[in-house]
Amino acid sequence: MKKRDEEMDDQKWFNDQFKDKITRFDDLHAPLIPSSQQFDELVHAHKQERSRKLWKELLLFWITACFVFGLMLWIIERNWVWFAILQTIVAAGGMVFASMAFSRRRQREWKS
Amino acid sequence: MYDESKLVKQAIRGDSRALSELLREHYSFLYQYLLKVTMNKSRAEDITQDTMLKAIEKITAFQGKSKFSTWLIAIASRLVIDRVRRSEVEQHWLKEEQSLRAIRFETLQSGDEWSDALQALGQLSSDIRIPVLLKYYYGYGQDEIASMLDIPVGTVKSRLHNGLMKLRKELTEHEEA
Repeated sequence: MKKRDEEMDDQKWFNDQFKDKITRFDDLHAPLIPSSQQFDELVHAHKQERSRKLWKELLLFWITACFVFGLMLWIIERNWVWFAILQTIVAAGGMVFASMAFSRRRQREWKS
Repeated sequence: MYDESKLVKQAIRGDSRALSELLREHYSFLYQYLLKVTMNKSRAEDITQDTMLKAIEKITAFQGKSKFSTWLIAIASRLVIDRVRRSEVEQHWLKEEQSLRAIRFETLQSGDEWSDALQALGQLSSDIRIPVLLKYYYGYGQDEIASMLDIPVGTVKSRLHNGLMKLRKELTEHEEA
């Protein structure tokens, strides 16, 4: 109850000291709003740019995937042992990377 | 007639016209929020533009649980915080001082007064100014601010407490001077 009163006091103090002045500041610095057409163009252009970027990324992904798959087939054909070693290294690397990324994210959440 | 919830639904479904109408409707609100947060006209314009682009990219992820303006403010606030983190502390402080002087000059030139209240608000660092404005000027709750800024509620409370304490101190000093 006491805390609620304190909060209300703080809000009242802020309103008395700042509210009108900030509103006047807002009114004084009101921006010129671009036309509807400019907003339409912005949305359209950015959506197109975004979609182009996504297609590029997808293409790059497929090229990389084909290269890796081809490499693996080539290694299987030449030497089974090397294939197993490579698979183990890749799996271990993936796990280390995932755990590091996860711990970094948790650390960031804790810090914030 | 302007119907926000209908426009939001259409925008989420991919209607570009609805999204551009929403953005236009909130442009002024967003810019004015960012001007108060940054106290710098060109930076406010830059971040307004970046916020709009982010909103275009992320509109399909918007669930419509909060108001569209709240969602935009959350994006904009995080962009401001990211920019502050990226710039060096000392350089950032100098830039803030210069920006405050520039906006003060512009306000005075427009024939309005630059009050002690605005000066005190401008002297708060942006990580404190943002929650203070969101809570006491825009009326958001502490929980909402915490989720908007992606920080714990405890941090919001302490920033609000520190912010008001600094504002009170600044205003008292000005009154005594």
